[in-house]
Amino acid sequence: MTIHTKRLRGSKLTLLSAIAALAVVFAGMPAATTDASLTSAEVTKTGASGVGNWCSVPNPTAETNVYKVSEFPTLNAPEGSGATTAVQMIIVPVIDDASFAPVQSVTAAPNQVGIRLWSCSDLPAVNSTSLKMTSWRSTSYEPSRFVWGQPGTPTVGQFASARLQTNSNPISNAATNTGTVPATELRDLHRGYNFLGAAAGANPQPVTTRYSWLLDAGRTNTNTGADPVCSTSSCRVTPGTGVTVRAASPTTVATATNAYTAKSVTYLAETYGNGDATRCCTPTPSTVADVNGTSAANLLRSSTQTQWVVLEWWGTTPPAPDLMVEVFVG
Amino acid sequence: MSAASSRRTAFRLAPFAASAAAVLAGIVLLGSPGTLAFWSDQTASPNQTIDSAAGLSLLAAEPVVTSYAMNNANLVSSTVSSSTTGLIPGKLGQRITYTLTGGPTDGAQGYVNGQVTSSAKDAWGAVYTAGYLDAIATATGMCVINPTPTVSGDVLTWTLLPTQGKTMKPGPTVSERTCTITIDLSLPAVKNGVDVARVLASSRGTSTALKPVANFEVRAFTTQVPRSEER
Repeated sequence: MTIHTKRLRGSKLTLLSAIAALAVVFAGMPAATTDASLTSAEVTKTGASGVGNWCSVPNPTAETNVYKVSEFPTLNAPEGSGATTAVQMIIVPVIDDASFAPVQSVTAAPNQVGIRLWSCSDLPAVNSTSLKMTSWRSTSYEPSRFVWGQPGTPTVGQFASARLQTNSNPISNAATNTGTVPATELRDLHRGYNFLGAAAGANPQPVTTRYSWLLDAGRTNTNTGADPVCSTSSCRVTPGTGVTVRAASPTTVATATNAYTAKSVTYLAETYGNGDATRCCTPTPSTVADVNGTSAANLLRSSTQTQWVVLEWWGTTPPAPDLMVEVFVG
Repeated sequence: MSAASSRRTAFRLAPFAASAAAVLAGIVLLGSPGTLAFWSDQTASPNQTIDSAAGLSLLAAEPVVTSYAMNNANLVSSTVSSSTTGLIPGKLGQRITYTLTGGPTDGAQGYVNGQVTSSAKDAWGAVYTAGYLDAIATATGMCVINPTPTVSGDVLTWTLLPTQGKTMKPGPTVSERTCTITIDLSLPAVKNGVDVARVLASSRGTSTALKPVANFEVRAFTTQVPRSEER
Protein backbone atom coordinates (compact mmCIF):
# COMPACT_ATOMS: atom_id res chain seq x y z
CA MET A 1 0.00 0.00 0.00
CA THR A 2 2.82 2.25 0.88
CA ILE A 3 4.73 1.39 -2.33
CA HIS A 4 1.61 1.90 -4.38
CA THR A 5 1.20 5.33 -2.94
CA LYS A 6 4.83 6.19 -3.75
CA ARG A 7 4.40 5.10 -7.38
CA LEU A 8 1.33 7.24 -7.77
CA ARG A 9 3.26 10.21 -6.44
CA GLY A 10 5.99 9.51 -9.00
CA SER A 11 3.50 9.70 -11.94
CA LYS A 12 2.24 13.08 -10.74
CA LEU A 13 5.80 14.41 -10.78
CA THR A 14 6.22 13.29 -14.40
CA LEU A 15 3.03 15.11 -15.38
CA LEU A 16 4.17 18.29 -13.69
CA SER A 17 7.54 18.20 -15.46
CA ALA A 18 5.79 17.83 -18.82
CA ILE A 19 3.66 20.92 -18.14
CA ALA A 20 6.80 22.80 -17.11
CA ALA A 21 8.47 21.81 -20.36
CA LEU A 22 5.51 23.16 -22.33
CA ALA A 23 5.71 26.42 -20.44
CA VAL A 24 9.37 26.69 -21.37
CA VAL A 25 8.44 26.25 -25.02
CA PHE A 26 5.84 29.01 -24.96
CA ALA A 27 8.11 31.39 -23.09
CA GLY A 28 10.90 30.70 -25.53
CA MET A 29 8.85 31.47 -28.61
CA PRO A 30 9.48 34.96 -30.00
CA ALA A 31 6.54 37.34 -29.68
CA ALA A 32 6.65 38.00 -33.42
CA THR A 33 5.80 34.39 -34.02
CA THR A 34 2.71 34.46 -31.90
CA ASP A 35 1.47 37.78 -33.47
CA ALA A 36 3.20 37.94 -36.81
CA SER A 37 2.65 41.22 -38.70
CA LEU A 38 4.11 43.35 -41.44
CA THR A 39 5.36 46.86 -40.83
CA SER A 40 6.34 49.43 -43.41
CA ALA A 41 9.28 51.76 -43.21
CA GLU A 42 8.55 55.10 -41.50
CA VAL A 43 8.19 58.12 -43.74
CA THR A 44 8.77 61.70 -42.63
CA LYS A 45 7.77 64.98 -44.25
CA THR A 46 7.85 68.53 -42.90
CA GLY A 47 5.73 71.51 -43.89
CA ALA A 48 6.44 75.08 -42.80
CA SER A 49 4.10 77.87 -41.80
CA GLY A 50 4.72 81.57 -41.47
CA VAL A 51 3.16 84.94 -40.75
CA GLY A 52 2.56 87.18 -43.74
CA ASN A 53 2.58 90.93 -44.13
CA TRP A 54 -0.37 93.22 -43.78
CA CYS A 55 -1.49 96.69 -42.89
CA SER A 56 -4.02 96.99 -40.13
CA VAL A 57 -6.24 99.69 -38.71
CA PRO A 58 -7.88 99.49 -35.26
CA ASN A 59 -10.82 97.12 -35.23
CA PRO A 60 -14.06 98.56 -33.83
CA THR A 61 -14.89 95.11 -32.49
CA ALA A 62 -11.97 95.38 -30.10
CA GLU A 63 -11.75 99.15 -29.60
CA THR A 64 -15.04 100.81 -28.73
CA ASN A 65 -13.76 104.34 -29.43
CA VAL A 66 -13.04 103.42 -33.04
CA TYR A 67 -15.90 103.94 -35.46
CA LYS A 68 -16.23 102.62 -38.99
CA VAL A 69 -17.02 105.67 -41.09
CA SER A 70 -18.72 103.81 -43.91
CA GLU A 71 -21.23 102.30 -41.45
CA PHE A 72 -22.54 105.51 -39.95
CA PRO A 73 -26.34 105.41 -40.05
CA THR A 74 -28.03 107.54 -42.65
CA LEU A 75 -30.50 110.22 -41.64
CA ASN A 76 -32.45 112.78 -43.58
CA ALA A 77 -31.30 116.02 -42.03
CA PRO A 78 -33.70 118.96 -42.37
CA GLU A 79 -32.38 122.08 -44.01
CA GLY A 80 -35.36 124.39 -43.59
CA SER A 81 -38.40 124.86 -45.84
CA GLY A 82 -39.10 121.16 -45.54
CA ALA A 83 -36.06 120.12 -47.54
CA THR A 84 -33.82 117.36 -46.24
CA THR A 85 -30.45 115.97 -47.14
CA ALA A 86 -29.21 112.46 -46.56
CA VAL A 87 -26.15 112.44 -44.33
CA GLN A 88 -24.37 109.77 -42.35
CA MET A 89 -23.74 110.72 -38.76
CA ILE A 90 -23.09 109.53 -35.24
CA ILE A 91 -22.98 111.60 -32.03
CA VAL A 92 -20.86 110.34 -29.14
CA PRO A 93 -20.56 111.71 -25.59
CA VAL A 94 -16.86 112.09 -24.77
CA ILE A 95 -15.54 112.08 -21.22
CA ASP A 96 -12.17 111.31 -19.70
CA ASP A 97 -12.83 107.63 -19.07
CA ALA A 98 -10.94 104.49 -20.04
CA SER A 99 -13.02 103.90 -23.12
CA PHE A 100 -11.54 106.98 -24.78
CA ALA A 101 -7.91 106.07 -24.17
CA PRO A 102 -5.94 106.31 -27.43
CA VAL A 103 -5.41 102.92 -29.04
CA GLN A 104 -1.76 103.80 -29.37
CA SER A 105 0.32 106.70 -28.15
CA VAL A 106 -0.57 110.13 -29.44
CA THR A 107 0.84 113.59 -28.85
CA ALA A 108 -1.81 115.83 -27.35
CA ALA A 109 -2.35 118.21 -24.43
CA PRO A 110 -3.54 116.53 -21.21
CA ASN A 111 -7.22 115.64 -21.55
CA GLN A 112 -7.38 117.16 -25.02
CA VAL A 113 -10.09 115.75 -27.25
CA GLY A 114 -8.92 114.51 -30.63
CA ILE A 115 -9.67 112.25 -33.53
CA ARG A 116 -7.43 110.03 -35.59
CA LEU A 117 -8.33 108.80 -39.05
CA TRP A 118 -6.98 105.38 -39.94
CA SER A 119 -6.88 103.74 -43.34
CA CYS A 120 -4.68 101.37 -45.27
CA SER A 121 -6.50 101.65 -48.56
CA ASP A 122 -5.54 103.77 -51.45
CA LEU A 123 -8.46 106.13 -51.42
CA PRO A 124 -10.58 106.73 -54.49
CA ALA A 125 -9.36 109.70 -56.48
CA VAL A 126 -12.69 111.50 -56.15
CA ASN A 127 -13.51 114.60 -54.20
CA SER A 128 -17.23 114.03 -54.07
CA THR A 129 -17.35 112.73 -50.52
CA SER A 130 -16.80 114.97 -47.53
CA LEU A 131 -16.05 114.64 -43.84
CA LYS A 132 -16.84 117.03 -41.02
CA MET A 133 -16.13 116.34 -37.39
CA THR A 134 -16.89 118.77 -34.60
CA SER A 135 -17.12 118.78 -30.83
CA TRP A 136 -19.50 120.64 -28.53
CA ARG A 137 -19.45 121.34 -24.83
CA SER A 138 -22.45 119.95 -23.11
CA THR A 139 -25.09 122.12 -21.48
CA SER A 140 -27.92 121.70 -19.01
CA TYR A 141 -29.98 119.40 -21.16
CA GLU A 142 -33.18 118.06 -19.68
CA PRO A 143 -32.18 114.51 -18.65
CA SER A 144 -35.39 112.99 -20.00
CA ARG A 145 -34.65 114.31 -23.50
CA PHE A 146 -31.70 112.03 -24.19
CA VAL A 147 -32.60 109.36 -26.71
CA TRP A 148 -29.98 106.67 -27.12
CA GLY A 149 -29.38 104.46 -30.14
CA GLN A 150 -27.40 101.29 -30.41
CA PRO A 151 -25.31 99.92 -28.85
CA GLY A 152 -26.50 101.42 -25.58
CA THR A 153 -26.75 104.07 -22.92
CA PRO A 154 -23.59 105.58 -21.42
CA THR A 155 -22.00 104.23 -18.26
CA VAL A 156 -18.76 105.66 -16.94
CA GLY A 157 -15.90 103.59 -18.35
CA GLN A 158 -17.92 102.72 -21.44
CA PHE A 159 -19.02 106.09 -22.76
CA ALA A 160 -17.45 105.31 -26.13
CA SER A 161 -20.14 102.70 -26.74
CA ALA A 162 -22.98 105.21 -26.38
CA ARG A 163 -24.63 106.98 -29.33
CA LEU A 164 -27.29 109.60 -29.39
CA GLN A 165 -30.16 108.60 -31.63
CA THR A 166 -29.69 110.93 -34.58
CA ASN A 167 -33.32 110.91 -35.49
CA SER A 168 -34.69 113.47 -37.86
CA ASN A 169 -36.79 115.82 -35.86
CA PRO A 170 -37.69 119.24 -37.24
CA ILE A 171 -34.83 121.67 -37.26
CA SER A 172 -34.29 123.26 -33.90
CA ASN A 173 -34.37 127.01 -34.09
CA ALA A 174 -34.44 128.21 -30.56
CA ALA A 175 -31.98 128.59 -27.75
CA THR A 176 -31.36 125.51 -25.67
CA ASN A 177 -34.13 125.02 -23.20
CA THR A 178 -35.67 122.19 -21.28
CA GLY A 179 -37.47 121.07 -24.41
CA THR A 180 -34.36 120.72 -26.54
CA VAL A 181 -33.64 117.27 -27.89
CA PRO A 182 -29.84 117.02 -27.62
CA ALA A 183 -29.37 114.94 -30.76
CA THR A 184 -31.38 117.38 -32.84
CA GLU A 185 -29.63 120.39 -31.41
CA LEU A 186 -26.15 118.94 -31.86
CA ARG A 187 -26.93 117.77 -35.38
CA ASP A 188 -28.08 121.24 -36.38
CA LEU A 189 -25.26 123.03 -34.59
CA HIS A 190 -22.79 120.79 -36.38
CA ARG A 191 -24.44 121.44 -39.74
CA GLY A 192 -24.66 125.20 -39.17
CA TYR A 193 -28.44 125.34 -39.17
CA ASN A 194 -28.92 126.63 -35.66
CA PHE A 195 -26.81 129.24 -33.96
CA LEU A 196 -28.83 129.23 -30.77
CA GLY A 197 -29.16 132.92 -30.28
CA ALA A 198 -27.50 135.95 -31.69
CA ALA A 199 -24.19 137.55 -30.83
CA ALA A 200 -24.51 139.37 -27.54
CA GLY A 201 -22.50 142.55 -27.70
CA ALA A 202 -19.04 142.12 -26.28
CA ASN A 203 -19.85 138.82 -24.64
CA PRO A 204 -18.54 135.61 -26.12
CA GLN A 205 -20.89 134.23 -28.70
CA PRO A 206 -22.82 131.24 -27.24
CA VAL A 207 -22.15 128.96 -30.20
CA THR A 208 -18.49 129.86 -30.30
CA THR A 209 -17.94 129.08 -26.63
CA ARG A 210 -19.31 125.58 -27.03
CA TYR A 211 -17.70 124.81 -30.36
CA SER A 212 -14.42 122.91 -30.90
CA TRP A 213 -13.24 122.07 -34.39
CA LEU A 214 -11.72 118.73 -35.17
CA LEU A 215 -11.86 118.22 -38.91
CA ASP A 216 -13.36 120.96 -41.01
CA ALA A 217 -12.58 123.29 -43.87
CA GLY A 218 -8.95 124.37 -43.75
CA ARG A 219 -7.59 121.23 -42.13
CA THR A 220 -6.12 118.47 -44.31
CA ASN A 221 -3.75 115.59 -43.82
CA THR A 222 -0.88 117.94 -44.60
CA ASN A 223 -2.21 120.82 -42.51
CA THR A 224 -3.78 119.16 -39.49
CA GLY A 225 -3.75 122.18 -37.18
CA ALA A 226 -5.46 124.90 -39.20
CA ASP A 227 -7.79 127.09 -37.10
CA PRO A 228 -10.59 129.47 -38.07
CA VAL A 229 -10.01 133.13 -37.50
CA CYS A 230 -11.91 134.92 -34.75
CA SER A 231 -10.45 138.28 -33.90
CA THR A 232 -12.77 139.49 -31.18
CA SER A 233 -14.31 137.86 -28.15
CA SER A 234 -17.77 138.37 -29.58
CA CYS A 235 -17.09 136.90 -32.99
CA ARG A 236 -19.02 133.88 -34.04
CA VAL A 237 -17.26 130.72 -35.14
CA THR A 238 -19.44 128.06 -36.66
CA PRO A 239 -18.67 124.86 -38.51
CA GLY A 240 -17.59 125.20 -42.11
CA THR A 241 -18.10 123.16 -45.21
CA GLY A 242 -16.06 120.13 -44.19
CA VAL A 243 -13.15 118.63 -46.06
CA THR A 244 -13.02 115.92 -48.67
CA VAL A 245 -12.29 112.38 -47.61
CA ARG A 246 -9.38 112.37 -49.96
CA ALA A 247 -7.77 115.43 -48.47
CA ALA A 248 -8.38 114.43 -44.87
CA SER A 249 -7.44 110.76 -44.92
CA PRO A 250 -4.04 109.28 -44.18
CA THR A 251 -1.69 109.91 -47.03
CA THR A 252 -1.32 107.25 -49.66
CA VAL A 253 2.37 107.93 -49.96
CA ALA A 254 3.22 105.24 -47.43
CA THR A 255 3.57 101.95 -49.20
CA ALA A 256 0.89 99.38 -48.58
CA THR A 257 3.33 96.55 -49.10
CA ASN A 258 4.74 95.53 -45.76
CA ALA A 259 3.00 98.47 -44.14
CA TYR A 260 2.89 96.71 -40.84
CA THR A 261 2.16 99.99 -39.11
CA ALA A 262 -1.15 101.39 -40.17
CA LYS A 263 -1.42 104.80 -41.69
CA SER A 264 -3.14 107.43 -39.62
CA VAL A 265 -3.53 111.17 -39.31
CA THR A 266 -4.45 112.99 -36.10
CA TYR A 267 -6.60 116.08 -35.68
CA LEU A 268 -6.74 117.70 -32.24
CA ALA A 269 -9.67 119.70 -30.94
CA GLU A 270 -9.11 123.43 -30.60
CA THR A 271 -11.54 126.03 -29.32
CA TYR A 272 -12.04 129.72 -28.67
CA GLY A 273 -14.06 129.16 -25.56
CA ASN A 274 -13.71 127.04 -22.50
CA GLY A 275 -16.71 128.54 -20.82
CA ASP A 276 -14.49 131.45 -19.83
CA ALA A 277 -15.79 134.82 -21.00
CA THR A 278 -12.31 136.29 -21.17
CA ARG A 279 -11.02 133.93 -23.79
CA CYS A 280 -10.70 135.10 -27.31
CA CYS A 281 -8.55 135.41 -30.29
CA THR A 282 -6.15 132.55 -29.65
CA PRO A 283 -7.36 129.00 -30.12
CA THR A 284 -6.60 126.75 -27.18
CA PRO A 285 -6.61 122.96 -26.83
CA SER A 286 -10.13 121.78 -26.15
CA THR A 287 -10.21 119.52 -23.13
CA VAL A 288 -12.59 117.62 -20.87
CA ALA A 289 -12.15 117.84 -17.11
CA ASP A 290 -11.53 114.73 -15.01
CA VAL A 291 -14.61 112.70 -14.25
CA ASN A 292 -14.00 112.87 -10.49
CA GLY A 293 -16.59 110.30 -9.59
CA THR A 294 -19.45 112.20 -11.17
CA SER A 295 -22.45 110.11 -12.15
CA ALA A 296 -23.17 109.46 -15.81
CA ALA A 297 -26.41 111.44 -15.60
CA ASN A 298 -24.61 114.49 -14.27
CA LEU A 299 -21.65 114.13 -16.63
CA LEU A 300 -23.93 114.30 -19.63
CA ARG A 301 -25.03 117.79 -18.59
CA SER A 302 -21.61 119.09 -17.53
CA SER A 303 -20.13 121.85 -19.68
CA THR A 304 -16.60 121.02 -18.55
CA GLN A 305 -16.56 117.24 -18.24
CA THR A 306 -18.43 116.25 -21.38
CA GLN A 307 -18.11 117.16 -25.03
CA TRP A 308 -20.34 115.81 -27.75
CA VAL A 309 -18.41 114.74 -30.80
CA VAL A 310 -20.40 114.78 -34.04
CA LEU A 311 -18.94 112.67 -36.85
CA GLU A 312 -20.41 113.01 -40.32
CA TRP A 313 -19.78 112.11 -43.92
CA TRP A 314 -21.87 112.88 -46.96
CA GLY A 315 -21.53 112.46 -50.69
CA THR A 316 -22.02 109.98 -53.47
CA THR A 317 -19.13 107.61 -52.82
CA PRO A 318 -18.92 105.88 -49.45
CA PRO A 319 -15.53 106.10 -47.76
CA ALA A 320 -13.24 103.09 -48.05
CA PRO A 321 -14.41 100.22 -45.80
CA ASP A 322 -11.26 100.44 -43.73
CA LEU A 323 -11.55 104.16 -42.99
CA MET A 324 -11.87 104.32 -39.22
CA VAL A 325 -12.19 107.33 -36.99
CA GLU A 326 -10.83 107.02 -33.47
CA VAL A 327 -12.08 109.51 -30.89
CA PHE A 328 -9.73 109.89 -27.94
CA VAL A 329 -8.96 111.95 -24.87
CA GLY A 330 -5.24 112.59 -24.69
CA MET B 1 -1.71 -6.41 -6.21
CA SER B 2 1.54 -4.57 -6.12
CA ALA B 3 2.77 -5.78 -9.58
CA ALA B 4 -0.55 -5.09 -11.26
CA SER B 5 -0.55 -1.63 -9.87
CA SER B 6 2.93 -0.99 -11.22
CA ARG B 7 1.98 -2.10 -14.75
CA ARG B 8 -1.01 0.21 -14.83
CA THR B 9 1.14 3.13 -13.78
CA ALA B 10 3.66 2.54 -16.55
CA PHE B 11 0.88 2.39 -19.08
CA ARG B 12 -0.53 5.78 -17.94
CA LEU B 13 2.86 7.49 -18.19
CA ALA B 14 3.50 6.49 -21.81
CA PRO B 15 1.49 9.39 -23.40
CA PHE B 16 3.28 11.94 -21.25
CA ALA B 17 6.61 10.65 -22.35
CA ALA B 18 5.48 10.95 -25.98
CA SER B 19 4.25 14.50 -25.51
CA ALA B 20 7.49 15.52 -23.82
CA ALA B 21 9.36 14.18 -26.84
CA ALA B 22 7.13 16.19 -29.17
CA VAL B 23 7.69 19.33 -27.15
CA LEU B 24 11.42 18.86 -27.34
CA ALA B 25 11.17 18.43 -31.07
CA GLY B 26 9.13 21.64 -31.24
CA ILE B 27 11.79 23.53 -29.36
CA VAL B 28 14.40 22.34 -31.77
CA LEU B 29 12.32 23.24 -34.79
CA LEU B 30 11.17 26.62 -33.57
CA GLY B 31 14.60 27.61 -32.42
CA SER B 32 16.34 26.96 -35.71
CA PRO B 33 16.97 29.91 -38.06
CA GLY B 34 14.70 30.59 -41.01
CA THR B 35 11.59 29.09 -39.62
CA LEU B 36 10.35 32.18 -37.81
CA ALA B 37 9.33 34.33 -40.72
CA PHE B 38 8.27 37.89 -40.24
CA TRP B 39 8.66 40.84 -42.56
CA SER B 40 10.32 44.10 -41.88
CA ASP B 41 12.25 46.42 -44.13
CA GLN B 42 13.54 48.34 -41.20
CA THR B 43 16.26 45.85 -40.55
CA ALA B 44 18.31 43.86 -42.98
CA SER B 45 18.94 40.39 -41.67
CA PRO B 46 19.79 37.37 -43.75
CA ASN B 47 16.63 35.49 -42.94
CA GLN B 48 14.36 38.13 -44.53
CA THR B 49 14.24 36.39 -47.79
CA ILE B 50 10.61 37.16 -48.57
CA ASP B 51 10.08 39.44 -51.57
CA SER B 52 9.63 42.97 -50.28
CA ALA B 53 6.97 43.65 -52.91
CA ALA B 54 4.66 41.51 -50.88
CA GLY B 55 5.37 43.44 -47.64
CA LEU B 56 4.03 46.85 -46.67
CA SER B 57 5.21 50.13 -48.10
CA LEU B 58 4.31 53.76 -47.59
CA LEU B 59 5.13 56.80 -49.66
CA ALA B 60 4.81 60.42 -48.53
CA ALA B 61 4.53 63.18 -51.10
CA GLU B 62 6.09 66.56 -50.48
CA PRO B 63 3.64 68.53 -48.32
CA VAL B 64 1.69 71.24 -50.10
CA VAL B 65 1.18 74.59 -48.38
CA THR B 66 -1.75 76.65 -49.60
CA SER B 67 -3.56 79.78 -48.46
CA TYR B 68 -7.27 80.07 -47.95
CA ALA B 69 -9.51 83.04 -47.31
CA MET B 70 -11.02 83.10 -43.85
CA ASN B 71 -14.78 83.25 -43.79
CA ASN B 72 -15.34 85.87 -41.10
CA ALA B 73 -14.79 88.75 -43.50
CA ASN B 74 -17.31 90.91 -41.70
CA LEU B 75 -14.91 91.16 -38.78
CA VAL B 76 -11.89 92.09 -40.74
CA SER B 77 -12.68 95.03 -42.94
CA SER B 78 -10.04 96.76 -40.88
CA THR B 79 -7.31 94.59 -42.28
CA VAL B 80 -5.94 95.04 -45.73
CA SER B 81 -3.74 92.18 -46.70
CA SER B 82 -0.48 92.81 -48.40
CA SER B 83 0.76 89.25 -48.64
CA THR B 84 -0.95 86.66 -50.77
CA THR B 85 0.53 83.88 -48.66
CA GLY B 86 1.18 83.33 -45.01
CA LEU B 87 -1.00 83.89 -42.01
CA ILE B 88 -2.86 87.20 -41.94
CA PRO B 89 -5.22 87.74 -39.01
CA GLY B 90 -8.82 87.48 -40.08
CA LYS B 91 -7.88 87.31 -43.74
CA LEU B 92 -5.69 84.40 -44.75
CA GLY B 93 -5.14 80.99 -43.26
CA GLN B 94 -2.56 78.37 -44.19
CA ARG B 95 -3.21 74.75 -44.97
CA ILE B 96 -0.44 72.17 -44.99
CA THR B 97 -1.47 68.99 -46.81
CA TYR B 98 0.38 65.69 -46.48
CA THR B 99 -0.46 62.81 -48.78
CA LEU B 100 0.49 59.26 -47.81
CA THR B 101 0.09 56.40 -50.24
CA GLY B 102 0.35 52.67 -49.69
CA GLY B 103 1.87 50.37 -52.29
CA PRO B 104 -0.44 48.86 -54.94
CA THR B 105 1.11 45.41 -54.60
CA ASP B 106 1.58 45.31 -50.84
CA GLY B 107 1.04 41.96 -49.22
CA ALA B 108 -1.66 43.05 -46.81
CA GLN B 109 -3.87 45.90 -45.72
CA GLY B 110 -2.18 48.45 -43.49
CA TYR B 111 -3.14 50.65 -40.61
CA VAL B 112 -1.57 54.13 -40.70
CA ASN B 113 0.28 54.84 -37.46
CA GLY B 114 2.35 57.80 -36.38
CA GLN B 115 1.87 61.43 -35.50
CA VAL B 116 2.20 65.02 -36.57
CA THR B 117 4.35 67.22 -34.35
CA SER B 118 5.10 70.90 -34.34
CA SER B 119 8.46 72.49 -33.79
CA ALA B 120 8.36 76.15 -32.85
CA LYS B 121 10.03 78.88 -34.85
CA ASP B 122 10.53 82.63 -34.33
CA ALA B 123 6.91 83.74 -34.30
CA TRP B 124 5.57 80.86 -32.22
CA GLY B 125 5.54 82.79 -28.97
CA ALA B 126 3.75 85.77 -30.48
CA VAL B 127 1.05 83.76 -32.19
CA TYR B 128 0.66 80.45 -30.33
CA THR B 129 1.88 81.05 -26.79
CA ALA B 130 -0.06 84.31 -26.74
CA GLY B 131 -3.17 82.27 -27.49
CA TYR B 132 -4.07 83.49 -30.96
CA LEU B 133 -3.17 80.61 -33.27
CA ASP B 134 -5.83 78.10 -34.23
CA ALA B 135 -4.36 74.81 -35.44
CA ILE B 136 -6.75 72.11 -36.60
CA ALA B 137 -5.68 68.67 -37.81
CA THR B 138 -7.95 66.56 -39.97
CA ALA B 139 -7.47 63.34 -41.88
CA THR B 140 -9.40 62.07 -44.87
CA GLY B 141 -9.15 58.86 -46.81
CA MET B 142 -7.67 55.76 -45.24
CA CYS B 143 -6.46 57.13 -41.94
CA VAL B 144 -7.79 58.75 -38.79
CA ILE B 145 -6.16 61.44 -36.67
CA ASN B 146 -7.04 62.48 -33.15
CA PRO B 147 -8.15 66.11 -33.59
CA THR B 148 -7.09 66.97 -30.05
CA PRO B 149 -3.34 67.38 -29.83
CA THR B 150 -1.30 66.70 -26.76
CA VAL B 151 0.67 69.73 -25.69
CA SER B 152 4.10 69.50 -24.14
CA GLY B 153 5.81 72.84 -23.89
CA ASP B 154 5.98 74.25 -27.39
CA VAL B 155 5.29 70.90 -29.02
CA LEU B 156 1.86 69.91 -30.25
CA THR B 157 1.39 66.26 -31.17
CA TRP B 158 -1.55 64.87 -33.07
CA THR B 159 -1.67 61.07 -33.11
CA LEU B 160 -2.80 58.89 -35.97
CA LEU B 161 -5.27 56.30 -34.74
CA PRO B 162 -5.38 52.85 -36.39
CA THR B 163 -9.09 52.38 -36.98
CA GLN B 164 -11.03 49.48 -38.43
CA GLY B 165 -12.34 50.29 -41.88
CA LYS B 166 -9.72 52.99 -42.43
CA THR B 167 -6.97 50.88 -43.90
CA MET B 168 -4.62 51.13 -46.84
CA LYS B 169 -5.87 48.52 -49.29
CA PRO B 170 -3.46 47.32 -51.97
CA GLY B 171 -4.80 47.40 -55.46
CA PRO B 172 -5.37 49.62 -58.46
CA THR B 173 -7.75 52.04 -56.69
CA VAL B 174 -5.48 54.81 -55.43
CA SER B 175 -8.11 56.30 -53.15
CA GLU B 176 -8.31 53.00 -51.28
CA ARG B 177 -4.67 53.29 -50.30
CA THR B 178 -4.33 57.03 -49.85
CA CYS B 179 -4.49 59.07 -46.69
CA THR B 180 -4.55 62.86 -46.58
CA ILE B 181 -3.66 64.80 -43.46
CA THR B 182 -4.21 68.53 -43.28
CA ILE B 183 -3.11 71.07 -40.72
CA ASP B 184 -5.17 74.26 -40.93
CA LEU B 185 -3.64 77.29 -39.29
CA SER B 186 -5.32 80.64 -38.81
CA LEU B 187 -5.28 83.77 -36.72
CA PRO B 188 -8.50 85.59 -35.83
CA ALA B 189 -8.80 89.33 -36.37
CA VAL B 190 -10.02 89.75 -32.80
CA LYS B 191 -9.79 87.28 -29.94
CA ASN B 192 -11.10 87.82 -26.42
CA GLY B 193 -11.34 91.54 -27.06
CA VAL B 194 -7.78 91.77 -28.33
CA ASP B 195 -7.18 93.38 -31.71
CA VAL B 196 -4.95 90.55 -32.89
CA ALA B 197 -4.21 92.11 -36.27
CA ARG B 198 -2.73 95.18 -34.64
CA VAL B 199 -1.00 93.41 -31.77
CA LEU B 200 0.77 91.11 -34.17
CA ALA B 201 1.47 93.83 -36.70
CA SER B 202 3.58 95.66 -34.16
CA SER B 203 5.63 92.55 -33.43
CA ARG B 204 5.75 91.43 -37.01
CA GLY B 205 8.94 93.17 -38.07
CA THR B 206 9.64 94.68 -41.45
CA SER B 207 10.88 91.68 -43.38
CA THR B 208 8.96 90.99 -46.53
CA ALA B 209 9.54 87.26 -46.10
CA LEU B 210 7.10 85.18 -44.12
CA LYS B 211 8.05 85.08 -40.47
CA PRO B 212 8.27 81.39 -39.54
CA VAL B 213 5.74 80.15 -36.99
CA ALA B 214 6.45 76.44 -36.84
CA ASN B 215 7.34 73.37 -38.81
CA PHE B 216 4.86 70.54 -38.77
CA GLU B 217 6.38 67.12 -39.25
CA VAL B 218 4.41 64.01 -40.07
CA ARG B 219 5.99 60.67 -39.20
CA ALA B 220 3.98 57.69 -40.34
CA PHE B 221 4.24 53.98 -41.02
CA THR B 222 1.80 51.21 -41.68
CA THR B 223 1.24 48.00 -39.78
CA GLN B 224 -0.45 44.93 -41.08
CA VAL B 225 -4.16 44.63 -40.53
CA PRO B 226 -5.03 41.19 -39.11
CA ARG B 227 -7.36 39.22 -41.39
CA SER B 228 -10.05 39.33 -38.76
CA GLU B 229 -10.02 43.14 -38.75
CA GLU B 230 -10.06 43.72 -42.49
CA ARG B 231 -13.04 45.68 -43.69
